[in-house]
Parts: sequence; structure tokens; C-alpha cells
Amino acid sequence: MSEALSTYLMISCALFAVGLVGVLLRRNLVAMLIGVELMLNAVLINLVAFARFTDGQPGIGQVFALFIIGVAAAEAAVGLSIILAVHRARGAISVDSLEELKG
Amino acid sequence: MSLEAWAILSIGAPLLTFFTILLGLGRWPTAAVALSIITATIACVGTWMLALGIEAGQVYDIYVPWASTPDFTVHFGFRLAGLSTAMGVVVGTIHLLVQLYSVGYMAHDPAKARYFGTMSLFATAMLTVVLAADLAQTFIAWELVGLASYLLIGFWGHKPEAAQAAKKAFIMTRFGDIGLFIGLVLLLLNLPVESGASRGLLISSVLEAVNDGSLQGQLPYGIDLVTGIGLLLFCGIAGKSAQFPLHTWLPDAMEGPTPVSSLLHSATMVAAGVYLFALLQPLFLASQVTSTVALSVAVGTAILSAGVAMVVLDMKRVLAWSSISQLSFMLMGLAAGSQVAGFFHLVTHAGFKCLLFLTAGILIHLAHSGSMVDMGRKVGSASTAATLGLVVGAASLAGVPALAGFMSKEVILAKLHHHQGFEGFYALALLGSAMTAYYATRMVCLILRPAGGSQDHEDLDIDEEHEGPLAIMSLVVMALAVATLGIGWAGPMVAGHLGAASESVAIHWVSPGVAMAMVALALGAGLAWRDFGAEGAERVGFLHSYPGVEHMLANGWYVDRFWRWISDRVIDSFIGLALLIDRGVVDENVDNLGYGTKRGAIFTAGLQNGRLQVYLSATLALLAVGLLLLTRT
Repeated sequence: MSEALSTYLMISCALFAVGLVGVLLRRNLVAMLIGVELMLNAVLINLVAFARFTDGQPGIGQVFALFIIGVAAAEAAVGLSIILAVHRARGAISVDSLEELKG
Repeated sequence: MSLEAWAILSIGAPLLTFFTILLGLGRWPTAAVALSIITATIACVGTWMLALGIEAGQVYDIYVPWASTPDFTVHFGFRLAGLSTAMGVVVGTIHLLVQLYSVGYMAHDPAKARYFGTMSLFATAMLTVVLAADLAQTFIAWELVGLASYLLIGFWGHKPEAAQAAKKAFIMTRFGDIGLFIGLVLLLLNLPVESGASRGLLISSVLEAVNDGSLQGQLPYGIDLVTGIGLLLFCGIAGKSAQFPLHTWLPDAMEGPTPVSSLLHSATMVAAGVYLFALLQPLFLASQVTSTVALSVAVGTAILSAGVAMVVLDMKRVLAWSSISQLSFMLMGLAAGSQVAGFFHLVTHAGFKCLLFLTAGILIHLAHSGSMVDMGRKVGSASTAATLGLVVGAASLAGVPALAGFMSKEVILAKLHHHQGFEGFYALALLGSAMTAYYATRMVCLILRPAGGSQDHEDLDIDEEHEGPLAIMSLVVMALAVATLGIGWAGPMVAGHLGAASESVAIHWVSPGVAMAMVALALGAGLAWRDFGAEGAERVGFLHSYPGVEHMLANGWYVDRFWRWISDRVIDSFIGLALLIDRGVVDENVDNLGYGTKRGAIFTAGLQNGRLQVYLSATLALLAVGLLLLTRT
């Protein structure tokens, strides 16, 4: 039973790492947003897996997962609108074009 | 009027003049001059009233606390005793005469209002020194005297030499005043007081403590308290009264107007030092060491400065060096234990030195030169007043019997002569008076018997414009000359006023002492006559055949050079060290604080490079480290 939990955690960890690498290495804002989504989904898997394999009240983990999906959707909407605004202002969506605040 | 009122009046009147001129009366020079003459007269009358108002031997202490703390109190007031009132008379009278003379001398000076104002300040300060009840008050006035003399020596400050001389006088006397100040503080701390009472430096209580021997103690390094205080106070006196090695400011002080020199050399400034010695004489005599040091310094200075006066050609410089020498004679008398002897010489010297300077003023006015050779060539004996003043003053200075200088110097010499163990000092003092006779005779011969006889006086410019002022000056000089003739016989009166027996100034005419003095006078004067006065004399002086000696004397025994060395090397390296500490430690730290902040700012600003990825990496790295630290426990 616990072996099964660790399998899910491994998958979640791998997904998180992929998302992180995407956020850190890509310059494109859309790609970075995708990375963030991947990281959120990794957490989601974590929550569902723990809910399934521990003796908690059934359903709590799933509710959390639903909340995260909602938050992720809102985040995607906000993120994409920011990107759209950046594109209108700069004509590009690379993070390199956003460095006015450097010292 | 009460004594107190007269004292306030004599000090306050000149002070009032000073402030009035300072505050705007200076725009009307004639009014300023008139006011200063009036107040000088009031001060003179006041000092005479004080002297006549007190009973001989009595001390009147009138004072109020001025600055008071539980620990110590500074009093302001007057201590009217024989010595202080007699000195007050000297100051008041000479001040009045010099002010009158200045009306003529400064008649055409555009800044004469400032001159008269500062002279009034000088008189106020000196009278306060003389009449003060508290040594702290004396000290304040003492510094005011220094300030006034600085202002007057540098009166013609547009001349670089005058500015230089004023600075020199101020700084040299300040050297001595450091000692004086430390001495006064030590005295304040060690003066016995009743428990709970606040400490003070009332002159009467200082003298009382010295006299009943309750001023006792040890300073660090096993120095006796009385000796230490005496020596420190003597530093200040040596500075003010121009004694070796702090004497070099006085000859340079000639840069001021001549009446200033006259006042400065006779009754104020330099006399302040001697007066303080006379006032605190018991303190100095209480220690064998202090009195011997004072006596040695005085004798040494007398010889040294008389030597310089023998070769200098500028008349005012000769007089300046002779002042130093005569001040030494006063200190000799005081240090040998006779208050009357030293003080009487101060009085007679004030008379004849003032006379000589005022005479020099007339001669300079006529000859337009300070050199005695020029005076002889251009003026000679053309001015009756100058001739009279010169002859009377110089004869007095040389010590011709029955004249002022002789009467008082003989008392000092007799005192040294009869003192056990002072034979050496006595011999040197005799040598000093022979030298005095030499330079006094030389001065007279150079001016009245110039090389090639008296001749063309046609370039003597006594025109309409100068006649009036010159008449005032001549009048003052003649009056003073007559007074100088008589003042020598005032000895018993002065002694009586000081509460001493009149025998203390009596001259034993038929005695080895007088005979020796006569021999010294004859030797000095005779030699000078041979060198400068006789027909066909070479008029260069016997010292000319010893170039080394002459050069040394003309350079004032190189003491000036020594001080120059001190100021160039010692003080400059001290300044260098201070500069190093300032730049290397103080400045460096402040600078580093600034630079450090700036460098830190540049570094942290560099972290804000605008790269989102870098920020994220840093955040994650910190998060990881935090988690690791949390999970380790």
C-alpha cells in the first residue's frame, strides 16, 4: 500500500521538476505559464494520492483538488491577460523585455 | 566719594570710551579724541584719589561673587592696598600723558578714533590687573592687556611687519600664559578652605595662606607645591615682562605707533608681569628654588639684552632692549626679597622710559627714520624738547647719581650686595649697569654728536601743518622730563605708601656699593664716549672689532632663530602628526563609512538584474536551504 503511495509521489515529483525546469529555463512567458500549471498539477496529484492512501475523511483531498483546478483556471486567465498586455505594449512576450526595474 | 566709586570710575571711564568709539563714535574722530582725553583724565584723577584715600599698610577688599558654583567662586572687585594703588597711579598718569601726546602724534592718522579707543581698552585692562581682588579676575584682565597690545602693535596692520609683530607678541605671551593658567588652577585646587566652603582665588586669601604656611603639599614627581606653582606663575610673568627666553616679541613690538611703545614699555603690558611678581612676592620667596630661578633668569636677561642694545642702530629697538634689561633689574630686586626696591624701579623706569619713547617719537617725526644715525644727521639738537628729553632720559637710564634711574637701581644693587650668597649676581648686575651706561651714552652721542658735526637741518620739515601737533608733543615731553628729574626723590614716599620703612630706599652715599656703581657708570659711559662722542671717534663701537660677537648681538643671541626653529620644526612636525591622525584615522573612518555604503549599494543594486529566472532560482535555493534546515531537527 505504501509502495503505491510512493509511486504517485515519484510521478508528482517528476512532474513538479519538469514544470520547474520549464519556468526557469524558458524565456517565453506562455511556456513559463505552462510550467507553473504543471507544478500546480504535481501538487494536485500529491493531494489526491495522500487522500486516497491515508485514513482521513474521504472526499477532503478531492475537494482540495477541485479548488486547485479552479485556482489554476483563474491563474491561467490572469496570466494570459498579463501576457496579452505585455505583447501589446512591447510587441514581444519574452521575459527579457521586462527588465526596467533592474538596479 | 567712596573708594569703591573712585575705583569703578577709573576702570569704567576708559572702558566706556572704548565701547562708545566701538559703537559708532569712531565716525567723529575729534569727538572720540576729546572723549578719550576726558576719560583718561578721570581715570588719572581716580587712581590718585585711590592712592590718597587709603591708609598706608591697610588693605581694602571690596568684592562681589561674580560666577559662583558650589565648588568654586570667581569674585569681581577691588583690592586696594599700598602696592595696587601706587601702581594704579603710575598707570593712570602715564596713560593720560601718552594720550595727550598722541593727540599730536596721531593728528593726521585716518584711523585715530580706533587708536584712541584701543588705548582706552589698554588702560582699563591694565587698571583691572592692578586693582583686581581675585586672581581669576587678574587673569581675565591680563589676557585683555594681551589683546589690547596685540591690536595696538598691529595698529598699522597694512604693514606686513606690524601684523607679524602683533601675532608674535600675542603668541609668545600666550606661551607663558599656559604656565600661568596651570599655576593658577593648581593654586585654586590646593588653597586650603574650610570644609563645605567654595574655593576661590582671592588675592588676600592666597597671600594669607602663603604667609601662615598652610599652602603645603607635593605635586607628582616629588615637586614641592609652592615651588611648582611659583615656577608656573613665573612662566606667565616671563612672557609678559619679556624675560629670557620669551623676550623676543618686545623688540618687534616697535612696529606699532611710538606712543603705544611708550605706554606698553612703561606702565602697561610689560609692567603687568613685574607687578604680578611684586603682588605675589611672598609666594615666590617661599621657595628657594623659585626665587633663585627668577633671579638667574633676570640677571641673565639683563646682561643679554643690554648686550644687544649696545649694537642695535634703531633708536626704538635700543629702547626696547633696554626695557627688557631694566625689567630684569626690577625682577632682581623683587626676587632678592625687596618689594620696595623692585617696585620703585618700576615707577622710575615708567617715568624715564616713557620720556625716552616720547622723545623718540618726536625725533622720528622730524627725521622720518628710526635710525639713530639718520636722527643725528637730520635733527641733531634742533629740537629743544627732544634734546632735553633725550639727555634727561638717557642720564636717568644710565644711572647718573641723583636722577631717577640711579636712585632706584642703587637700591636694587645694594639689596643684592648685602645679600649673603648673591655675590655672583651682584657682579653680573654691576656689569649690566655698566652696559646700560654704555648704550645710553652711545644713543645720546649718536644723535647729538653725529659724525661730521651738526650740519644741514634745512630739510627739517616743521611746516604749518606739523607745528601744532609738535607743540603738544614737546610740551608733554618737557613736563615728563621735569617729572623724571624729581621722581627719584619720591622713594621714601613710595616706600611709605607700600607700608615699608623709608630706610629700605635710602641711599648710603658714602659706601662701597655706590662707589662700585660709579665705577661701572664711568667705565660704560667713558667707553661709549671714546667710541662715539670724542673728536675723531670712529663711531662704530669697540664691538666692531669682534665681528663674531657683534653679529651674535645684532641677531639677539640667535634666540629669535631658536624660536623660528621651534616653530618650523617642532610645531610643524606636531601639526604634521595631528594632520596625519586627522587624515588617517578620523577622515579615513568617515570616508570608509561613506564608501562602504556606496559599495554595498552598488552590490545590492547589481543583484536586481531584472532576470526573472535568477530571482526564481534564488527564491528556490533559499527555500531549499530553509527546508533542509527545518527537516534536520
